[in-house]
This record gives sequence, structure tokens and C-alpha cells, in this order.
Amino acid sequence: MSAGLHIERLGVAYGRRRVIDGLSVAALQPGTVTAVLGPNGSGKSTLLRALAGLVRAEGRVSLEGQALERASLAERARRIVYLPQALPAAVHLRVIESLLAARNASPHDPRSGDGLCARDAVQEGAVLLERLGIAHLAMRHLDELSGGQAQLAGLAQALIRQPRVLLLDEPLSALDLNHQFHVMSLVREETVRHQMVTLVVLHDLGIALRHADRVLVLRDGQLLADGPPAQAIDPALLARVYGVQARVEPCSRGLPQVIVDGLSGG
Amino acid sequence: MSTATAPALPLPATAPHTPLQQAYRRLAGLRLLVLAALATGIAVALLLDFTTGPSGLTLAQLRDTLLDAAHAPPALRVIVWDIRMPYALMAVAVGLALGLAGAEMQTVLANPLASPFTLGLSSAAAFGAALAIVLDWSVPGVPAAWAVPANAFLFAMASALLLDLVARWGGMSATGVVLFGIALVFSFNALVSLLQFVATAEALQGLVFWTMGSLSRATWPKLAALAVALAVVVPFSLANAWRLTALRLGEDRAASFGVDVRRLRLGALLRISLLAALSVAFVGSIGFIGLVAPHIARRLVGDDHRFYLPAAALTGALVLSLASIASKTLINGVVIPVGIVTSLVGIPFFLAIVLRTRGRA
Repeated sequence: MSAGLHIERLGVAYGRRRVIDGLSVAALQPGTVTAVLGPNGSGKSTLLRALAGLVRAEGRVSLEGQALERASLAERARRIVYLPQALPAAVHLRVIESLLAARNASPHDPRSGDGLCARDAVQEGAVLLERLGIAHLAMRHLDELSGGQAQLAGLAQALIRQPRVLLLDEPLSALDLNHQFHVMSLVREETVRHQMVTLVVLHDLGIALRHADRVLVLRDGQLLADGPPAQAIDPALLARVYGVQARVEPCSRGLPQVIVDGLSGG
Repeated sequence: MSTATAPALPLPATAPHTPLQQAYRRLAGLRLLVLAALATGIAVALLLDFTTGPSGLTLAQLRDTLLDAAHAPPALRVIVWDIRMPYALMAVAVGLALGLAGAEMQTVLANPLASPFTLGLSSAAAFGAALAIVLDWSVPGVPAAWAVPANAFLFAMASALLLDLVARWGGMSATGVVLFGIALVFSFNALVSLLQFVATAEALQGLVFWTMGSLSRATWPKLAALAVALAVVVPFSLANAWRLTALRLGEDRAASFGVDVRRLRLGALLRISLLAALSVAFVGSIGFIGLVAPHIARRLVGDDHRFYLPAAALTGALVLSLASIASKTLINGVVIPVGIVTSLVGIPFFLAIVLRTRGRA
């Protein structure tokens, strides 16, 4: 049985427009964080949504040797969780309640069906919130949270389902520097702790260089680069993908950094 | 089928997190208390509703007539058993139905302004009723006395199924369904106007009265039909409580948590159609209960649908029961159609929601 998540010749089309075309990716290993990079409209979110079964896709996706394309939504949801960036406005749920809803949402989930107080589930949620450092927010309403707190609450909703694959769609886009670092550190920690396959859509190359084990770089639904961030991200790729003249140079501590000098050809 | 599940989250042997468990228990207890308070409110409102009306009735007379109908004066018996009871109980039943329907509708369409009435069900019912009243057109085989409610039900159900179809086959988003519903309101209102234009004076009067929405059309058989519908629908609604709660976190998030959103939406729309269509068919357009009750319920118990759905139903029943009392007491000796009362109370509420939503955006 092969470990990890395998993607072979994945294709997604919206009507006649092909958003992802014959994408194959070598096994994504448990316990690793993979950053999905690329310009707007390159198919990053669509890739994640296709893996979660939210859009119809062709090709093969298998997890730990089991094919997923025929799995029902509920079966897939037991192993894969996709977290979109935004939360609808005016949700009158407390953080702990949102965790209970996330946990008990699936129809055939053997763990659902707790009583009114769902004591074990509450306890499970409490442990999780503690670990993410937001135990003090458990009884707060979701719509009172700051962007960073809401992302962590979302992460808790995903983690309480104990997924094998965690898909995060631009989790950092609304966050300040401090929270970006904090959220990514926690994502890494939890990925290693639970040996999940984690994919994160990112825009910030610096974050990818710092926090990801591997990057997938997409443009027009095609895979342009795949590998450890420091090797995959180079000036030629940045010119090709983003249309910028850029250097990748080590900082004073030896960590690679992307420095953009201007637009290529301009 | 084997499922690879991760080891359970490590729970410490001692329980250092009991404060959260206690807080959550308190919250759940408080919400049950709110539900109990609503139920008590309904019981009190029912008693008031029984004893309010153009011909006075004391609590003692009510008690005697209820407990010993055989020895009660015939006039009292008629007032209590044939007028007051079906009237007051219908208010509660219709309130339950519209409150529950509105709550589910707002969740599955992700729109705080969704309700059976803002999305064309009552306009469709009015058109069905107008066909019966103005053109004498009705479903073959239906007794004449039931022609108007049968037509109203048929059209309300058809428009609801049309909404379902649009949601299902059109692959339309929740916003798309809401816009389609609003288009239905305008279309059916125009058709009703057309019928009004060609109607005789007598038919026009009948139609106008019908569209006002009045509990005076309540009868025991209608009440029984609505009660059966509620008994069938409520268990399904409650069985979907977790899924509906998850849907409040957003469609993609819910789907990724294993909720089949399209199926959930379709099931809810069918339940809503049945409840709303029966209500409109029996008592006409009673606006705003389906809109207002869910908002009050959300304020009271939040979005956990295990509490929210019952709270919305009970709030609907309480509000309509109170409106029913008001409709009999506002003008001495006159029973105003209850639909007028609920709309007058509902319009300011509706505006408040719109303004609040704009403030948030």
C-alpha cells in the first residue's frame, strides 16, 4: 500500500473552459506541508476543491492506496477536509458550537449522535482549542472574532474531524504578519503531529520558503514546478509564472528570500 | 468498508477543561429554558385567545364548556368548540408551520430575507385562489367547498417545486434561487391583478377578502390536516439539525464536512413547500411570520439548529397567537383579518433587518 496522496491526470473543466489539465503529482507524503503557488486564476483553489470532491473532476486521486473518485461525499469527508477562506456573515454560533457542528455534520459518521450536551465532543473541542491557543475564545461568537482568530477557529473545525488530508485555501490572506506566522506554525505542528497530508494555497513566497516542505507551482492549470521550495523557486520560474524579474538570495541567517526587482520585459 | 481514522485526540486522564463543559451545559440548559418559556407563553396566549372575541367568555365558562360539553348551553358550545377552539388552535398550528418553514428556508438559501412569502409561495397560492373565485376553475373532483384551498395549495406547491427545480437542475446558487423567487412574486401578483381586472364586483370582493389572510376560515378538518403535516415534517427537520447548523458555516465548508448540500436543500424546500402551501391554502396570506419568527429565535438561542428550529416554530406560534388576540381586540366588536395585523407589525421589523444587514456590509 502506497502512503500519502496520489494525483494522476487530474482534469477539471467549468463548462468548456479547462481549469486544470492532466495534472499529475508525485505522492504527497503524510506529515508534510505542501504550498500551492501560482498567479490568480491558475487553478490553485480548483485543485483543492477537486481533491475535496466539491467539483467534478476526471483522473485518479488515491489516498493510502484507496481510490477516492468513486467515494461518496460523506466517505471522502471522513478523510479529507477543505477549508475555504471566508465565513458567511452574521453566523450566531459560538466557537465550540461550530466545532460540534463540524464534527457531527456527516450523515454516517460513527462518532455523531451525542446527547444534548455532547460532553465528550465538548471535551475534545476544549483540548483542541487549548492546543491552538484559543481556549479562551470557546464561548465567543464566530462573528466577533478577528481575522486571525477566525482562521484558527476554522482550523479547529477542520482538525476536530481528524482528517488524513487537510486542504487550506488562502488561510493567510486576511491576516497581519504576526498571525500569518502563528497560523502557519500551528498548521505545521498539527500536520506533523497527526501525520496529515496538508496542502495550503499561498500567495506569499516568503511564507512558502519558510514553512512548506514542498511547493507545487501552477499556471493555467498546469504544473510548472514541484519540489522543495528553495530548489523549485528560482528566477526563471518567477519570470515565467508571475512575469517578474526576481532574485532568490539568502538572508543574513542563510534563509532564502525572494527579492523582486521589477516586471520582466518592462 | 475500512476507514483509516486517526488515533483519537489525546484526552488527559484528569479533566482540566471542565469549565468549558460546565459553561456549555449552562448554555444548553438556558436554551431549553427559553423553549419552555415560549411553550408556556403559547399556552397563556391560547387561553387568552379562547376567551377573547366579540361575544364575551369567561375562563370559568370556558372550563365548564371544555370539560362538560354535553351540559353546556348550546350557544356557548358552538362558540367554544366550533369558533374559538379551531380559530385559536389554527393560529398556533399555522404559526408553528410558518416559523419552522421560514427558519429552514433562511438556512438553506443562506439569506436572512428568505421566507415562504418573500419567495412567491403565497403569491402563487393567491393566484390559485383567484382562479377558483373569479373563473370558477378548479381541480376536477374537488368538492366546491374545498375548491379555493385546493387551488391555493396546488399553486403554492407548484411554485415551491419550481424553486426546487431551479435549485437542483439549474445548479443555481442560493442567491439565484432567491432572485427567482422574487421574480415569481411579481409574476403571480401581475396574474392576480389581471384576474381582478376581469372579475365581477362580487368575485373581486371575495378575492380581496381571501388575500387578506384570516383565521376565521379555520375548521377542525383543516386543523387536523395541518397537524398531520407538522407531525410528518418536524422529525425530518430535527434529524437534519446538525447538517443545517454546519450549512450556516458556508456551503463549501459544510460540503467538505460531508453534508450533501443539494440534497439537504431539496429536502428542506419540500418540507417548506408542504407546510407553507397548507397554511396559505387554509388561512390565506399571513405575511411576515415566516420572516420574523426565525430572526427572533436566532436572537434567543443562536444558530444551533437543535434549538433554533424548535424556537423558530414556537416563536411563530406565539407571535401569531398574540396577533390573533390583537386582531379581536384592536377594534371593539370587530375581528380584523389577522394577516393585516401581522403585516403591520412585520413591515417595521422587515425594514429593521434590511437596515441592519446594510450596516454590516
